[in-house]
Amino acid sequence: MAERRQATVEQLIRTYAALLLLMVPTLAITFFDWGVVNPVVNLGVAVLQAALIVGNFMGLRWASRWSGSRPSADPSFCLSCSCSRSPTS
Amino acid sequence: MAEPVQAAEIPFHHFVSIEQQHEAARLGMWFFLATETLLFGGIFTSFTVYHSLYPETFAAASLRLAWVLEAVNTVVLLSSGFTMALVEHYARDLDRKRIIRFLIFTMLLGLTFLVLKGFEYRGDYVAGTVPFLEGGWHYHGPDPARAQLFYNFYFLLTGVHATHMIVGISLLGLLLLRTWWWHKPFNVRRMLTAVGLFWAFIDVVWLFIYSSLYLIHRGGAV
Repeated sequence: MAERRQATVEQLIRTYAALLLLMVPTLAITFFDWGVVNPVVNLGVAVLQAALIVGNFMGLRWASRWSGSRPSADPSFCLSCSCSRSPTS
Repeated sequence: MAEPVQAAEIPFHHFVSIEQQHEAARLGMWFFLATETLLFGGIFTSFTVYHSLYPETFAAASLRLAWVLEAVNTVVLLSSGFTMALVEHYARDLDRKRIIRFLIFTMLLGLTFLVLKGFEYRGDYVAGTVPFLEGGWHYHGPDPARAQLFYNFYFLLTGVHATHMIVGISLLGLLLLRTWWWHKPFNVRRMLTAVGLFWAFIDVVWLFIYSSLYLIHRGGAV
């Protein structure tokens, strides 16, 4: 069974730094009145930050399509719980 | 340094391995978060519709919100998301000491967020922008009747979010005790992962609340 990958501490730190850096344009644009550009930038930055959180903090970036282990190929294993394997085995 | 696990844990009988059980819990949490997305999505959609109907009134009301205080709160919440991600990281290594350390940091940051939110609500009450409280509404901006609508959305979104924060902090407190006890560490790890997903989701929701309510009309008006 392949081990599911996950973010390293360095990657988490970089993600956190990116999240904080993205606060700069969010707050900086409040000093300018560019009409419709303001909400577009604010929401765009929010989407970027959300993508970083979902990808790295929630681990979606590291998950394979069906991550984790799959049922055993052992024919004695049965998903209906009438398997031959005892709970304590 | 990770502490050695005393004995290998046995999964529930309908799982092949602890890893599969862990992944099933993770998937279940993603399904739960999908329902949460529907909840917040419904509120955001309603807000967007009314915002498009009364843009001037909503803009005037939005400019009265404490956006600087909430900018600080956003940084606090992003920091808590980072410390919670570290908890999940060290949970995978079953590193008990670091899990405890970063769980405490996360809880403290979460509590800081709620305290700052309390200050904001107090400011709203003093300013007379709490429509549902007796004596809490004496709004002096344009179109007070429709401004009430904006503030109802504001309190609904931030209130539901704060409720999620309270639930999250309570769960973190329980997990802190479980980690301290360190009985069945693989179970603790599974729960930490699930709560970590929940906490990150709270972060994401807040980012959209902050952009939509506090900043959407703010430009050149600092």
